[in-house]
Amino acid sequence: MSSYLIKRIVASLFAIWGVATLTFFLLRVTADPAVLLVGEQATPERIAEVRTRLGLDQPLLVQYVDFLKGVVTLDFGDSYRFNEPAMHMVIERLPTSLKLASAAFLVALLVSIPLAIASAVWRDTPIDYIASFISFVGFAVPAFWLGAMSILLFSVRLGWLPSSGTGGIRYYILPTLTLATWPLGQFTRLLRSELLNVFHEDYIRTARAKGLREHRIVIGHALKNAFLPVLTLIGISFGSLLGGAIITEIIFAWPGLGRLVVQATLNRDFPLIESSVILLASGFVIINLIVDLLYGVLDPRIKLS
Amino acid sequence: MLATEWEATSETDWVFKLREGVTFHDGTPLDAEAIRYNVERITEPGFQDWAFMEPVSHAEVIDPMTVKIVTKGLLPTLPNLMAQFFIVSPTAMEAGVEAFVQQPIGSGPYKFVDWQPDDHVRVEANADYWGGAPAIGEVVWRVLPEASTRVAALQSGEIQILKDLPSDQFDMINDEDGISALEVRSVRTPYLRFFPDSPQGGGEPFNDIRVRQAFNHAINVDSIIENLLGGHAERTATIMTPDIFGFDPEVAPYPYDLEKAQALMAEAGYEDGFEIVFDTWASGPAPKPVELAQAVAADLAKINVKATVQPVELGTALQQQNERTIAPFGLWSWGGNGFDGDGKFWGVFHPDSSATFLTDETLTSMIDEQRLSLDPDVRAPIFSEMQKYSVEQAFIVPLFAQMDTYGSTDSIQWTPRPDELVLPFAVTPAE
Repeated sequence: MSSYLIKRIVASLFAIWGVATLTFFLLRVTADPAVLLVGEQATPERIAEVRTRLGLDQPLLVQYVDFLKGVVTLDFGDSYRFNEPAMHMVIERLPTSLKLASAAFLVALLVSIPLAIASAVWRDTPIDYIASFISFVGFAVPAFWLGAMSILLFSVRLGWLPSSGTGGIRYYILPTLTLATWPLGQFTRLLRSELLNVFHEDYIRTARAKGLREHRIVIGHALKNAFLPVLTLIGISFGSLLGGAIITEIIFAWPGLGRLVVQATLNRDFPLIESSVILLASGFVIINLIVDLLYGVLDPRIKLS
Repeated sequence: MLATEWEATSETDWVFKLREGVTFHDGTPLDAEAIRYNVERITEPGFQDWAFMEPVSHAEVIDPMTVKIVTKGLLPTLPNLMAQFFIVSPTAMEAGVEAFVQQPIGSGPYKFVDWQPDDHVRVEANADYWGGAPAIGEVVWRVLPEASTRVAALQSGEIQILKDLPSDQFDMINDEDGISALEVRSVRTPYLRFFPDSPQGGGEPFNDIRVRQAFNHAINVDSIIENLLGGHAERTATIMTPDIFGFDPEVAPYPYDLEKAQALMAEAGYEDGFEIVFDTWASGPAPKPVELAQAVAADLAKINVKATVQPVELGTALQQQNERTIAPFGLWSWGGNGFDGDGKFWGVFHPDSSATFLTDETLTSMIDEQRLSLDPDVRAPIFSEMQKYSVEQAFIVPLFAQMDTYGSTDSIQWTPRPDELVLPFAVTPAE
């Protein structure tokens, strides 16, 4: 167990280092931040001055070593554009994104689990068709369309909910539903097919033969076993919900991390991009590590060695 | 204005008399010392990277309400520049920049209340404003990056003024009760530029004035304005617009004339045309940049020029401009600053500007010449000459002055300005 854990942690650190290195080099081939900072009418001397101040005139290897120090200390210096510690700015935005992602994640789980169970138990009945329709729609409808349409209906036509911005619970409803539809569709599809597979297993037949009640069979035996592959998907989904809410954040003017990253990329604000990428990548890796460890807890047959 | 009168006392010295009795929101008097402090702060090396105050050297206090601002060279546009110069309370700055950013103190009609990055800035009326208390008590600036969300927020009454209304929704907004679409001519003029020496190759034909004139005749700008932009733009003959000092209304744009364009191409030896790469923005300063470039390319095909449209992201485009690696033909846009022809002509045509890709000695000397005088009556005729000359030589293909578009509810009265500023002091409740 402990040697497995160490191996997994080392592998995770490698993954983070890989993402960091890729980020570093990709950024440095795209554009020169100094040009964007000083504006079009600046003199070449002025641009050179800014490049020196930002350390962009250093050899690439020197910059890379500096950057790796930043990865270790989680400090990439000040944002070029805002002159504030970049990591601090990212961490300040994190709760705003986390709240939306968690709300969407919760809605997706709470709706998809009963939906998948109903769909699998009453297979090929109208209930299954309705559940499948909902999950297909969740899969197929892009967030930018769903977001814009829900604003038109609930804010403009009906006037029930605010179109955008942050505040009380009313501000959460539309962006949460928009963000939840995709994982909802995914979870439902996967859980339904896993349940259907499990229903054919010997232990389910044994349980039935024992005369167990149907709901105990489904919840106690089938769901527990069908849930393992879904757990992996859930881990990946939460990571992408956090970093991938960009479109939803833009449509609903939600001041989260996604928008900060987009702006930082357009501005070539290296410290800000590096801070957010490292934070998001670490979050992603940690969640997946937890999921891997949970496997052993949920299924004692899987030995973590 | 905070200055009641000003004059240039020498080639580099400007003396400003300040308005009596003005204070910052924290009670600090706005006097000559405050101005000197602010000029010193903004001209300090490394203060900020934006370069617009670079021509200013320093400031001196003459008496408590009179201040002298000294420029590094002759600078006829200084009074315009001062309008873009934000004056902050020296007392509030004593606490340091970090603290100031959290609670900025100025002297204007509105006082800062709170700010949430990428969400909103809230200000409240300053009852003691020297120009009288503003009519609107509280103003919230909201950041709504998605255009359709902005429109929805206006329709549902969550916002009263909307900036950057998509031009294709202009008529729809006007058809609805209670809200209106507004537009104002901007000083920003998109244009097409030639780069004969482009390292990408293929720019040589643009050394020939006849080819440049043929492009000007072949591109149907009026049709682009009408069909692509729904009429929401105003054709210009040069990079100047009527709102800019030095504008000459007599200078006319090239008429659309395909036959003449073909004849000019033949005369230059390019009857069979040539191939070029054509840079445009993926999105950005000009309206519908990709569609616009495609329309231009379709026009050029009629004179056998095969232009391959290449959309470039703005940051990359700026870097390519600086490294001088842009394509031989491309879309660009220029706003200039301070509503003066100098910013326009210098930026687009002077060899020292990073945005200049086709230089001409005669034009350069005219740009330098108008900078030698502070007298508008001397400068205006030079600008007029420059406009005529630049059209004649077809240094660029000027397109249009773009329109800034806004949406507004009928509950307020307000007129948009050509400089992209929305000043809540100028907003009043409708009767």
